[in-house]
Amino acid sequence: MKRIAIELGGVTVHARLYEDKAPKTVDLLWKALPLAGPLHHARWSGSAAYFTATALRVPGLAVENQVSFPYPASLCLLPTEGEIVFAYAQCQARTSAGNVWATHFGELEGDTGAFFALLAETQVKGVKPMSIRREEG
Amino acid sequence: MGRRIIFEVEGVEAAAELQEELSPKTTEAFWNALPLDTTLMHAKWSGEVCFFRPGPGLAGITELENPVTSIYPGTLVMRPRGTEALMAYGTGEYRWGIGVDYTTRLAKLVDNEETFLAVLRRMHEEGEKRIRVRRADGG
Repeated sequence: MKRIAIELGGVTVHARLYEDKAPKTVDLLWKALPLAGPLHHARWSGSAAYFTATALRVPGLAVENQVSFPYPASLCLLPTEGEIVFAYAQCQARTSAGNVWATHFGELEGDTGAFFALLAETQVKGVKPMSIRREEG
Repeated sequence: MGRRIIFEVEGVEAAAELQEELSPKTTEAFWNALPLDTTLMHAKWSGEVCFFRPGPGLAGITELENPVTSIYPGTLVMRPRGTEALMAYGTGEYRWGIGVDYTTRLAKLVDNEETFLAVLRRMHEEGEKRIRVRRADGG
């Protein structure tokens, strides 16, 4: 099972990837890792923050295991935007044009409380650096 | 010319004209609630928009006046009861968790718009700021 580690503001959380439900998306992400860059609060999607990577922007990639309202702790990708969406409360995948579908490709595991607080804090304090890496073993 | 108000964020001021003909009750209540000194936040559902809470002075305004959904850049709109006042710096549309909703047009920037909206645009990167709103006549 492929797993990743996500670091934000000194807090590291771990996630498993859904190789069975979203194989093309997981493969795209796995090959792109490690990634580092700014995490922004959502402007259209509600209680969520998003991480953008050029390597994940593949407009032709079909949405897999599609969801519209990501649950907190779900990992979702908008392939048209190259955005990983991290919901921490009520959220819907949206752009200025309206509602969109997102690929639900993984799930955070364990205690996510401190991580969610940092996600919410990006609305109040602005962007934060995030890094994502493969978790081996 | 209608009554004017002044917004100030990080030392940058911009004048706006109240939309009194469109929204007489809402603009009157807002005028009476001034001055305001409060937190300005970036919106999380409505796009390229920042918002503040005008406070209890607007609680009695329960009805929309000439409702709009799109929030044009430099336009200040308000939800009934003054729960939120919002200004767009780019593409904006009043939305919340379950969809789109309407707002009342309250004021339109008439001076220093470009510079002021550039400050609002930075909030997505920088986070919340203080906003002060006062009557242009010093009241």
